[in-house]
Amino acid sequence: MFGVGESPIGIASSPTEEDYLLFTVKKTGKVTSQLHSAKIGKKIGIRGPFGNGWPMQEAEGKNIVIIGGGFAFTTLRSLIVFILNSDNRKKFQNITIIYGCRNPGEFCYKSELSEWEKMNDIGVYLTIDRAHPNWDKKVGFVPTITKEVAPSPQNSLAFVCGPPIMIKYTLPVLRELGFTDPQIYLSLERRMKCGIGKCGRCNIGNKFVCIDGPVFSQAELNTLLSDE
Amino acid sequence: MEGTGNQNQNSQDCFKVIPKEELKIFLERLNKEYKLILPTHKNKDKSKEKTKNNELIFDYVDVLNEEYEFPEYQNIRIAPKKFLFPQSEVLFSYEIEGNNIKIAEKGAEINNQIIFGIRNCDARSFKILDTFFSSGKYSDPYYFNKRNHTLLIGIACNEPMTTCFCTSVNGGPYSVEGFDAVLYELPEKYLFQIISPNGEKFKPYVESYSNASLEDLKLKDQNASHAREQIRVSLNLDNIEMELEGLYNHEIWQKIARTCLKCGACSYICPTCHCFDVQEKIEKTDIVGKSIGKRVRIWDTCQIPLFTLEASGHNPRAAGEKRTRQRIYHKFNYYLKNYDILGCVGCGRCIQVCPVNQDIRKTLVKVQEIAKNVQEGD
Ligand code: SF4
Ligand code: SF4
Ligand code: FES
Repeated sequence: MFGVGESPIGIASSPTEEDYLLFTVKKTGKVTSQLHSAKIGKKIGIRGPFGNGWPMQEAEGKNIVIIGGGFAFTTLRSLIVFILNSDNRKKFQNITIIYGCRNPGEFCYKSELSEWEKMNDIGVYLTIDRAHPNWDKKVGFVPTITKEVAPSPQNSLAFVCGPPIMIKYTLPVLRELGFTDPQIYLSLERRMKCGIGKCGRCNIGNKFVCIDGPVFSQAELNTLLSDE
Repeated sequence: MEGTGNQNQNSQDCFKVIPKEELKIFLERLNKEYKLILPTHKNKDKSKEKTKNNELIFDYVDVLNEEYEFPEYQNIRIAPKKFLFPQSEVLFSYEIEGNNIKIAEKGAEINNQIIFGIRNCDARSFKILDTFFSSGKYSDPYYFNKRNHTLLIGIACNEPMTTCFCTSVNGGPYSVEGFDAVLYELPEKYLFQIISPNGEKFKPYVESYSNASLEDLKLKDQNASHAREQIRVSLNLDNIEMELEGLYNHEIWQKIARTCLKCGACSYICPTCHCFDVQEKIEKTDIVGKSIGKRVRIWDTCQIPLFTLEASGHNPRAAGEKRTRQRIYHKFNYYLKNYDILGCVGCGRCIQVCPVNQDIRKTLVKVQEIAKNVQEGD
């Protein structure tokens, strides 16, 4: 936003949606507030794309377990739309989606979620933290629901994106289910300014989230000096 | 050490004698072709010469039109990094009128310039910045548009400071790494030596001077050993990357962080620190609806919590010890992993500037002690 600043935002549309780029932006700071109050037709600038994406080639022929929490679901939407595209669907096996929010109102992409729920070749599990009168789906934190759904680690990859606390407690559950660290991919968040590995703030050990990530396998994270 | 062709590096004709009283004339000749960045008093007003506010700084001096005398100094408090990586630098500017946005890339003419009189540690800091800013997929054009027009004429250190530890990090008071040319100070004269291929550009400027005598060279070598003896702290950091590897979660970081104020002075003063923030500066003009803005990068420091604070409130380096650790690991572990060089040149500025007397040399000694104990305990 000229005159306001820049914000790092993941792309929520899939490469298969060729006519537009979709960004889902939570109103948090200066830039995102200005975006929210912008009128249609307002000119903004985009730099990028920077960094890597989900390892789609490695995922071919496998079951995919997608685990997301809160507003971090955006790049997972991109992933799901990509997989469900009619040209791509046959390249992947079973799809399991576990998506948790604090309350029913927080879910992004509600109409798409209900379409996905209707499909019989994917499992969609939506959950909220605490029971709510307008909610007849699962109740409980993402790690608990992951344990309950118990996706099989056989020929599977898990793609996880969410708040740090969710990731922290989901990891042991996946490991308990039999997922090995190379099978677990995380998309991580850091404060970013440059996106090109120069401003120096997004590092995890000697890697930069902006250029070497944001997607890392847990196996790779284990080799870095990090708190993850 | 970079060669100057197949001549013997120590043959007399590699060293030209510039008498001290002729240095100004030499600088004037250089100044006709290059802008000069020289050690000079902050306050050019002679009457304030001896006051506290009149420290030596590196600054542009037009020796053709100004009085100038090359001063004596051990090293200059503020490193010359700022001439290639300014504390605040406009990346581009723009004009907004309604929905029309015009971006103007900053296309300022960069003159050829010389930083004159820099010490080996600071020359080596530019080698580190060169490596970092050119690394990876994206080279930094804002740094290199200046760097590519800058030559470095150094001066060997006859009197290192008590905080200097360049010899522990592959430098030295008489090391010439990173210089294009270098001066050695003797009682009545300087010896001038071309170091890098770029430094050959100075050949025409020194051709008329006589070659050094054997006596001169002997004196220079004596000065070199005297200088090296002045540096009292000598660490062997050959294994520092591995030594740090096992201490990531050690309590030493908490201990050091306890007294650290997280003021960031150590990183602002450091000639190799290069982290920056990007900010938007908007200035409204009087014309209705039209505004002019610029995107600016500004030095930043990993020592303050805001550096990594995310919009969500999450902060991976909220705890002080994680920031203390980051600074040491970045220079002595990540740099080795990523570029195979150390990220510190041993200039000791961070030691001089620290308000609570943190000493990076002591930290490194401690790390090595602990690493040794950990290993022996295995
Ligand atoms: S860390 Fe300290 S000694 Fe090392 S280069 Fe920076 S300021 Fe100099
Ligand atoms: S650290 Fe070494 S090169 Fe730098 S001023 Fe001190 S003695 Fe000279
Ligand atoms: S965002 Fe600047 S280094 Fe990653």
